Amino acid sequence: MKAVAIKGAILLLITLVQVSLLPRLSLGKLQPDFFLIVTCCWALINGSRMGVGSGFVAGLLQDLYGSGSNIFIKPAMGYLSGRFEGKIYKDSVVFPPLIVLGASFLGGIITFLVHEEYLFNLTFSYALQNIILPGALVNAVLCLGVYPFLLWVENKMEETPRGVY
Amino acid sequence: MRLFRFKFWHLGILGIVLILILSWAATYLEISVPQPFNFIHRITAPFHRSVTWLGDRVSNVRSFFTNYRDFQEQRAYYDLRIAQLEKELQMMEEIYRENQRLRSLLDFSQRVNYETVGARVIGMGADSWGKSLLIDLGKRDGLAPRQPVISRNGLLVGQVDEVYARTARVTMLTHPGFVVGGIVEREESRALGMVRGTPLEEGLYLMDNFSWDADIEEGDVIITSGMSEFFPRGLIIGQVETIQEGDYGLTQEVGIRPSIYGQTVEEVLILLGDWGEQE
Repeated sequence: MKAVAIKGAILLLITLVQVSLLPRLSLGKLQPDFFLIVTCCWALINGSRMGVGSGFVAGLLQDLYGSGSNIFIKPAMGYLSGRFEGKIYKDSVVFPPLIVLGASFLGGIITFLVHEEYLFNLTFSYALQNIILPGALVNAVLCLGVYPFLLWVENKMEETPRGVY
Repeated sequence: MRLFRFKFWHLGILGIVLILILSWAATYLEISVPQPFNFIHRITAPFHRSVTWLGDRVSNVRSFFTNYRDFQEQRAYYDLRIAQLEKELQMMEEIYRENQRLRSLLDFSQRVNYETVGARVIGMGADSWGKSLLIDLGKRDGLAPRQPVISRNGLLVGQVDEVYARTARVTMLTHPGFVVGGIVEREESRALGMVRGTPLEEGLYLMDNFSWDADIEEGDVIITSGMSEFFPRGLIIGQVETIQEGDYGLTQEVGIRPSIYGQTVEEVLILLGDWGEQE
């Protein structure tokens, strides 16, 4: 119950950051997707089931404040990221950003393909250069800070540290 | 011998395929997030307002210290400008009175009766694809989908998309799915076209459906044509920057820079009025 409350609080905090705070920082093209970063990180720490669940809630929140089909895409990315749980060291610094990079890239391409308004009004090269690749790179960089933080929170919540194998 | 052995990951792949099909179907059937989930908007709206309020205060204090000299120069400039504008305003009032007299003589009705309501921008869309704004007014304030949204100085910002109880989402005119009828403001031209949120390059958006011989020049101002029932005539959209041939020379494709592009939108006006038949 405590874990659910903490995760809920983190998701609400992310919503505030994503919707109200980030636009004020004038990052231009670089628009990070904290919902995806958190979904992938939780999936890497806890597995596919958590990835699907957190991806669903994160996607729902994101669709409430934007447009899209994140409610379907985020669980898929969470599931795929969760497949790597147990295959990489949880304390690894390199792999989580790489997985977030891949998930952002794949998620971006799927978003482009399933949305009529993007598919017919944007060229693929424009979407790749201006939205998908910058977004994937900034997500991967931010994951360097988000993943250790979420791992630390998870370790604090449990008696047995998850970083130790 | 078993030809197929079921594994857990097969279920995962099946799930992803199903999700993609549902995702595609939801997009094409225009299914949005179910209404019961809209309570999240109600819960989080005060937090968004608080963050925006706090951000404004921090920005004000910071800009006071960093831009003090600029403020002084700007104040001198604005003092001069106000004096000029007051003179122009007097002239305009005279023209307005004359115009009213002539209208009554010709028995013209008012062209457009705008009823507006002001709203604060409390957030932006949560993804990098669709450019949208979150405003602090909703259904309770008389907002409805498809109402036009303008800036304080009358520039077209976009259109109300989703309306919740106390908040609403506005699709900006730079959103890839946005379309509005535009007309060249210049009296000698009045060429009609469609302005789309299709980006041509950084800051330039497509305006098409012009005939090959339409009279368009770089620098022309584009305003809303008033041909659709959703936008009144005369809202400023942007300025023509590039003109090129389209459809093998049968049409012209124009790159316009929206007047709102690059501006920080903090407050907007929503047009509530029914403009009905327009000239």
